[in-house]
Amino acid sequence: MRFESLEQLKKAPRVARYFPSLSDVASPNTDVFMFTEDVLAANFSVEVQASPDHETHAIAILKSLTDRPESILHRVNSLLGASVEKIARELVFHGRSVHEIVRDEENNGVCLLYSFTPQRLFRAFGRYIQCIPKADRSLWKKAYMVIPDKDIWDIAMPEELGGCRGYRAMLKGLARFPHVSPSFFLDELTQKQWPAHYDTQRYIRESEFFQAKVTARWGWNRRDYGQQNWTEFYLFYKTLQFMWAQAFMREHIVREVNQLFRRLGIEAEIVVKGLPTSNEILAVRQRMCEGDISFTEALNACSI
Amino acid sequence: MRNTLFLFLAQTRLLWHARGILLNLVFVIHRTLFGMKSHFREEGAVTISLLFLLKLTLRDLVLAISLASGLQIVNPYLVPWFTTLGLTIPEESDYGTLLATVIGVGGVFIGLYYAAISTVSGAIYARVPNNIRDLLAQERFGNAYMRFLAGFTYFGVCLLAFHSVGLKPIILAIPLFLLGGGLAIIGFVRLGTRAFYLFDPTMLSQRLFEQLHRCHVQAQAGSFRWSDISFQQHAHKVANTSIDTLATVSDITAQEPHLNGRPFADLCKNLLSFLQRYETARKSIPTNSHWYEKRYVRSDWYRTSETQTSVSHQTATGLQPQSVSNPRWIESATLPIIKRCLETNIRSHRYTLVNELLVSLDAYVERLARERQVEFAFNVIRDVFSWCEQFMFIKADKDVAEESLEHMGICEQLARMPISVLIAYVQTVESYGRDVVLQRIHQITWKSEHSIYMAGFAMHVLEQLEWLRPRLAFEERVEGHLVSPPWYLQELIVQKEVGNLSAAMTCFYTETSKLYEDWIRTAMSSHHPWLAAVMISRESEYWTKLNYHRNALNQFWSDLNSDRRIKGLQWPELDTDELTHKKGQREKDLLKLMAHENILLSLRSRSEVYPDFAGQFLHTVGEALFAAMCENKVDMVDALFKPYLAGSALQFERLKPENADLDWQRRINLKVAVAPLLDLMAISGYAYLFSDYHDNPCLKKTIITEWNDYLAKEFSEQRLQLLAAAVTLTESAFELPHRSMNRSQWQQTMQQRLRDNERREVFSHEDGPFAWSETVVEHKSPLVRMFARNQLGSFYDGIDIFLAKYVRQRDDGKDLHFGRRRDRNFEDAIERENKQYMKAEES
Repeated sequence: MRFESLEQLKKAPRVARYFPSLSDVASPNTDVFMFTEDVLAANFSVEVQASPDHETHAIAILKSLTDRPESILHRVNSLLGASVEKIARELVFHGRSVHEIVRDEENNGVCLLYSFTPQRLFRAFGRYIQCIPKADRSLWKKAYMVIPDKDIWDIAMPEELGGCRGYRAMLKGLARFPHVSPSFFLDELTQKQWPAHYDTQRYIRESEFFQAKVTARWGWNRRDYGQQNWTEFYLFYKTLQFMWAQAFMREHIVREVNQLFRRLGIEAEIVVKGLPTSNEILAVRQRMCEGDISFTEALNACSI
Repeated sequence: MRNTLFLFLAQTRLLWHARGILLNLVFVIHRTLFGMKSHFREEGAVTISLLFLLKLTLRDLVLAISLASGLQIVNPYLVPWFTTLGLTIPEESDYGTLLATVIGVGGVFIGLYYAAISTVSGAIYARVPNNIRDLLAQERFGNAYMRFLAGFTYFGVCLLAFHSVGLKPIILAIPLFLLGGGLAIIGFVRLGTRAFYLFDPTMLSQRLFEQLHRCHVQAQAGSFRWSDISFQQHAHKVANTSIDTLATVSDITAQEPHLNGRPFADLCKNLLSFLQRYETARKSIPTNSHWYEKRYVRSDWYRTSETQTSVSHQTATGLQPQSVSNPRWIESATLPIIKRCLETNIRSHRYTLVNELLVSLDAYVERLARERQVEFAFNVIRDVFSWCEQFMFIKADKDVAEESLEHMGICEQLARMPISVLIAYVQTVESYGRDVVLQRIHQITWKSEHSIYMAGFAMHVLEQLEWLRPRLAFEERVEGHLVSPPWYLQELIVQKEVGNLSAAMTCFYTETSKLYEDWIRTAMSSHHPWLAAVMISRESEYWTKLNYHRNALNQFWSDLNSDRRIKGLQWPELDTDELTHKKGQREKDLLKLMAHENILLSLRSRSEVYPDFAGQFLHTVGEALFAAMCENKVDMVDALFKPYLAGSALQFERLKPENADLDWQRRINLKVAVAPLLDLMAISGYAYLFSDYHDNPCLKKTIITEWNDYLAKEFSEQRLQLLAAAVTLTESAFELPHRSMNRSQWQQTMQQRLRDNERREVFSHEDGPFAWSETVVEHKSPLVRMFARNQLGSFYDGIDIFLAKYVRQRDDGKDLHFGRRRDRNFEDAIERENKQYMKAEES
């Protein structure tokens, strides 16, 4: 029997999918927006390798991860890419991606994944506890939910990229200070007053340093391709660092998905083909540092 | 953490207000400290002046004290004698009198000193601006003396006051008075002598140079508050004032006939010494420092960073103008003073002073070259020439027959300047290269603001280092260590060095050529052949030196351009082939000029104090002619031979003894005089040989034509006789002919060249059972074969060829006798060579 969506399962998910009361309605910070957009510009295409018996099951699981319209998922490759990208998107926005594994014991233990918000989710004594905010209890008709470990697939940002906490702290840091000027500066300017003793250059220099420092692990260049703050070499170094981070995150997701397949007893594996690995990118960067290859050659070697 | 805290606090007005107040406070504190430092420095200088005064008067003081002590020692023995003479021992009241006297003397001296100053001031400084009078008022030596004298006199007044109210005389005051009084009296004499010099305002200029020095030291990296814009502006302002005062002093000096000689020249020499020191110091002054004069430029909106345009757009204020430095503001302001001094002294015919100034200017351009500011050095040279030009090259209707030695000396000094620049530059770059750049990069601490100025990089690299420093500091702060590798930094710096070298090479090859060309043209067009000859001679030296050092420059160029790793980096282009071609062309033109000038000068009588340019040029042209024949350069041979022939003949005419009666000494002189003719014949003979060797009949065509003209019908017999006599006279003697070494060198060079000819060994059994071998040279010309056959050299030379191939081929030359050694063996030898060759070909 084939299950292609959760609706076909007899068992419904238990967790609350999202909390409208906690969603940020204000426009997102420009720097955070640019950063997430840049990270997700990576290529997430993967291929599945599975025995014929398990391929359908593996694809069904991956399909349950996406929220794209059916029309674009008719090709397996598109489906796989969209699934990995969906996990990447959640990691990039929240530093973590959690799913409830919905098992239908009556149908030979077939299972699908149900993505939900990591907000108000705690882990204690081998259980995940989801506390629903008061405002949303009427929507979900419950105050909390306790789910055993085995029914949750939890994937976090890898430690090399800051881990879940470190990553969230980074996003917070990016949004912490306005980039160009503090708010009072614009307020005073609108009153046609140049703030006394205010040093524009100093503020911008410090704010750009702060952002560079916060995103140093990722090597994000803030789309600053001029050489106001860095040399051409450092710009390329950062760009390669960023490519490494994207590759490392992609590999992490692939590793975690394969681990999930093994956990669910599915004999399938997804693999990345035709894209440089994180280690290859590091090797290329090393060669660039030693001057063996030019900046453009290094960039071309790490691009698709 | 510091950065986060700053940004956190920066979100409120409070931080910026507090920062503004703090910065103001810090500025006030630093300004006070700076003022105190300046004050202490000034006080220190005054103390040194006082000590110097003490040192000057010490000998007299010691003498006076010794005399007084001696008298004191003998005093007990003299007291009885005193009393027998009826004199009394001074009493307490006399002590008071002594004090009053000392005070009186002090007061008189003070009055006299200011009277002297007023006289000087009234005579010289009455109609001058205040800044000049300030110099007089601040005269350190006199001020130190007056301060001491005032204190000393007042000390005496105090003692007298104490004594007047009944206090006992202070014994210790006596030796103090002894010492102080001596210093005051003897010092006044010294000061009085010095007061005469105050009539010369240039004597006071030393203080201005000290001030200028202090100002640029203040702007140099590492000095107190060197990076503070307010302090930089202050240094600029004070230096500007000093330069204004210096200009006023120079104006006054230039207008006074008794001052515009030695005093003005000394002032300018001091100024040039200062400029030399400043040139070295400039590389530790930031290029954007407010020490330099500023002007403002506006940048393109679309070329400006997004951050700036964003702020400008939000505030609707437009882009802030950017200031651009004038790095040569000191030079622009001070070099006109040197110009004026040169002009004044040339006009007044004080050539010794002019020469001294030019020596100082030469040292200055040499320093510029050592700092690798070659372009500016050449600008200075061009300017200096233009300053002297109008006085040196006064247009005459016809050629000036005699030039003053001083004018020639000045021209020599001017024409030597490019050579000084070249040598100094080459010496500097010989110990410099990529490795040195790398070593210096390792010495830099990029986080430190002043480290880049201490690494020893030249001025032209500073801008690149200043661009790199904040970026690398940013990188180091973000990553915790420096990411950009040393080779990358090295390459960015070397790129600037290549740009500088490229400009320097262009100057050495092209600019110099233009400079000398203009100078020589100016000298010739104004009818000064001797001055033109000086320039030509120096230019020839310049190109010889450049040829010698060309390898060092090329090596430096290759070293800097090696191991390029950054693709797409814009490197300065330099077409070395083009430069070499231009240099070669100029050298050819110069040889033609020499050939032409040689004839002009040979026609004039030369004073023995003048260099023999005609002889020098003739020799040089002869060497060039021979080299052109070796290299098969027909155009050069065509251009040079005619004037060479004429020059040789004229040289003979000039050197030959006038009296026909030949005694032993005159015979020797005649042998010397025919040397140019022998050279000429040898060169002409080699023209035949090289014409055959290169299989280029054109090479000898001009030679034959010119000789035919020279030996035209009406002169033919007389001139051929002269040639025969010249050969016979020298060949019949036992000693080596004059300049035979030179002709031997041509012979050796020729043989070396012919050694390259293809040859083979031919074996023959003709003379018996044993085979013997003979070298056969593969060349169709028997002349070439004959000279090339023997690897150890030939008995024959160019003169033999000339006699055989040209003179004896003429109807009027067949029967001429050229001495025993120049008989017809040569023709026989060629005949034999032909036969041997035919035989070898047959075998």
